[in-house]
Amino acid sequence: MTRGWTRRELLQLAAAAPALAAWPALAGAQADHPRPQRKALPKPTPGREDTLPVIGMGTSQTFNVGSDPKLRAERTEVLRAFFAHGGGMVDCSPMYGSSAAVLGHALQQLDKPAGLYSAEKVWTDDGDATRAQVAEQARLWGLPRFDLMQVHNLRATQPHLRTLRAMQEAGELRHIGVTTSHGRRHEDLAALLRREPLDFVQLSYSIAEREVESRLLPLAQDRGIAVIANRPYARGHLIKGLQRKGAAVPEWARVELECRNWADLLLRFIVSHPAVTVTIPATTKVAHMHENMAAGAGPMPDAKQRQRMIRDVEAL
Amino acid sequence: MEDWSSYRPAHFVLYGPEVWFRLVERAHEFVGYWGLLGPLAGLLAAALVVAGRWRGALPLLALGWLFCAYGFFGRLYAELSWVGPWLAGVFLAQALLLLLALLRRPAPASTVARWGLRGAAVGAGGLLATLGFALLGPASGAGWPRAEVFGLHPDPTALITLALLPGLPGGWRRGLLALIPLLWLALSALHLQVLQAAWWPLLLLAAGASLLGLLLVGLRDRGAAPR
Repeated sequence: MTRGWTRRELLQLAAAAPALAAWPALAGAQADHPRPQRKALPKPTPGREDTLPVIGMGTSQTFNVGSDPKLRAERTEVLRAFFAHGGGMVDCSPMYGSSAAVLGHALQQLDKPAGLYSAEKVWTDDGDATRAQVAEQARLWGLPRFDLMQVHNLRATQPHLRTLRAMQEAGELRHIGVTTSHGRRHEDLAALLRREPLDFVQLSYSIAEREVESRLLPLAQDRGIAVIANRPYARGHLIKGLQRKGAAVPEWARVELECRNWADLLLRFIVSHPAVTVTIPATTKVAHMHENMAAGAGPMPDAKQRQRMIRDVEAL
Repeated sequence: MEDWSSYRPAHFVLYGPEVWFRLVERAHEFVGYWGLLGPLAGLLAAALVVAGRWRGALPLLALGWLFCAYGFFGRLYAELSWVGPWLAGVFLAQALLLLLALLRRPAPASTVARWGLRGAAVGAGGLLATLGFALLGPASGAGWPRAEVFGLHPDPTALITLALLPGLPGGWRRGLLALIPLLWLALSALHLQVLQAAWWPLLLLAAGASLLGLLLVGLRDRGAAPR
């Protein structure tokens, strides 16, 4: 005996119709905007996303465009492309001039994308100014609070960390961390990682800058501290140098790892390290953003393939 | 301890070339056609110095530095870097120094430019700094909005000032007036090198030529001074 449609089922079908009609378009959008793989965040929070796309976005240099309407509009498109790929972490600092204000403007234009994981920094020698700077940066971003607040370049680390920890306990911040860049102050950083209960550490790591592999990355992994790798292209010099030489991506990487370009190879090298949670390339170009994000979606190299990548890049 | 030896000039430039050259364009956007007054003022200042009317040139030069201080550094560049207000202060100081030079007593005729070799050199330098430098941007294919001119942009303002100084009365005051423009050009050359602008060596060359000119006229004036 066949059963007819109930009224409830017909209503459910009608409600689902637009989504079904849009399905091919959604599937197409996913194919055009491949989503990077995700890694676990420290301290899972009930009811909140506990993973992060392995490709984030840095804003150093690239988003410092002041009030220039033309450049602000261009940067908004870069951010739009980032979120079209399911982007998560966006990292900024008071040191980056107008970047936070430009970011705030772009986020407002994009109606505050849901996937945003906001990462900011405290950058002042005044250990009593932590809260004021956090509040000012939140105002510039247009956010009530940040997901992650880091002490930038270990400036006044102890007083800032004390305040940030109190803010975290009060629920005003989700995660806290510290940063360095350009391979500086690794001794101090190692001591800090051993001593302090941190959620994140940010440091420079790329196929050309691997000093952190020997001590800091294993230490962070042991301590359960998530790692943000900055300068993935060594401030653009790495990828520009390879392109200037006209070097082609090695054939084996094309075949085995589906690396279509150097961004695929260089970024996958970084995020395939077991200690690294996310890398934050910065760009001013929408096309480069698509490349960066697509790199996080492809097959990741194993330990042997990572060594082969190093050999091939060093040989160039 | 911060490892300062690991820092490079590039680490202090917090924006890319595109942003800097948009600042050049935006300075024009703010003033529109009034911007043409800049090169006209530069040319007028050069003509006055060549004609020996240096007192008329000093307020024009001071105005150029003042506009750069307020408009370029105080309004535009300050958005990008905390250094902006400091540079605005330095440019303001140079404007004040130029105005203070007006307080000097009339100089002996032999120590200022007149028509002749010295006047021709000063005039040529002024012309080159005013028009030649303005053409660099457009000549690189970037169009007229990229023309850097006296009073709107810092490099031509410093270049014109340095070009005209050998035509001004001498002594230590001339050296004092040259100090900030020379330092600016050295800093600007470094900055343009980081931004990979091809013409950064021209600034050093111009600064070197100006310094040589100042030394030569200084020696000549010393020889001509009554004993």
